[in-house]
Amino acid sequence: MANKLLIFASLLAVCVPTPGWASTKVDRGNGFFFNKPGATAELATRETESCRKLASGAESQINTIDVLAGGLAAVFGGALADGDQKRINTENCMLIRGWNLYAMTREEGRAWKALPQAERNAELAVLVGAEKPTRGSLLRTWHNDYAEPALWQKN
Amino acid sequence: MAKELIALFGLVLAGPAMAQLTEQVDLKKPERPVPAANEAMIVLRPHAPGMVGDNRILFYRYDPATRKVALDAQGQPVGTKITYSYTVFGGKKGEKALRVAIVPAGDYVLAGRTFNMTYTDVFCLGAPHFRVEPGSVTYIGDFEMLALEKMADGERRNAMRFSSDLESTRQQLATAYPGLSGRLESWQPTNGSTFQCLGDEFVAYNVPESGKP
Repeated sequence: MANKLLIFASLLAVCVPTPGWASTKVDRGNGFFFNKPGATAELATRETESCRKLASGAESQINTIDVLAGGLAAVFGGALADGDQKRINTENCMLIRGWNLYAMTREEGRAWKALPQAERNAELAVLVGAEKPTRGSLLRTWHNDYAEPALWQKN
Repeated sequence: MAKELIALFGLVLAGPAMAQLTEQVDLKKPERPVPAANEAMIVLRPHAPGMVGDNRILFYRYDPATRKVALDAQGQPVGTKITYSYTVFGGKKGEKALRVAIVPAGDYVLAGRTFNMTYTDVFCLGAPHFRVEPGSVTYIGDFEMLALEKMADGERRNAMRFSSDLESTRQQLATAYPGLSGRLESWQPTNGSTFQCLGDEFVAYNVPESGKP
């Protein structure tokens, strides 16, 4: 597990933008993770890999879980490296399975990068199953948007 | 002419890959085909608040026992598509456009939507499954077509807002099929049917409880 978290942590570090002006905007590009309260890192690994396979057409249906011997790290790393469409489909698949998408601001991303690797690893295993993640902000959760779209309302 | 040919060529290349069971009834023509003994009629009303381009609402044959869509010899889903266009060349704002198709009786899923012939949203992560009996006339619903609409989370996505108005649809159907409109009944959808994901964006479509009969 330590190795898996290590690679995942590296991935988040890779996503952290270079120093610049401060922004409060939460964006996947600054680092993201899926969270489901009570979930283990193993479950996150398994489900993300399954959704990635589905998104790439390798897995025929969402209910057919065929776990690869990947890790949390490889899974999240791959999800970011995927093309946009595959990333969206992986995300949609995770959301319908009850996961929430958390993403970071630039500053949060930088703060994450500044953490010692061991600390990152320990945090990651907690973040995926935390009731209230201590990092990032909720960016997306599943909503029946296609049939009941919640449209943007101007303030 | 060259541009038209290129566009036409593009459409041929990009056309949605599915085996068409039957053609949608062209209500502009005087002929009014009716379902044969082993067929059923499905009725729906797409509409849009503004231009949404060319849309095809997809229905695939579905086997609830195996939870798979029927495929043809080329591996493409078998089903029917309902077209709805609202572009600079045509379409009326807000008008609920009656659409009718005659299909083989059996099980189907509301499977997705092709947008401008090039991009298909597939409801493979969870789709409404329904059955049409031989000779039945089934109202599926009204669908407000939205294209790349900005959602509450700030991102742009397609949508088909579901609503249901059986009696208003019956009245509209009576103008095209006076002899069949009295038989119009609401569908009985069951959400959550999954199937092989073939398309561009994979999503789920749940018929809201408020919209169920």
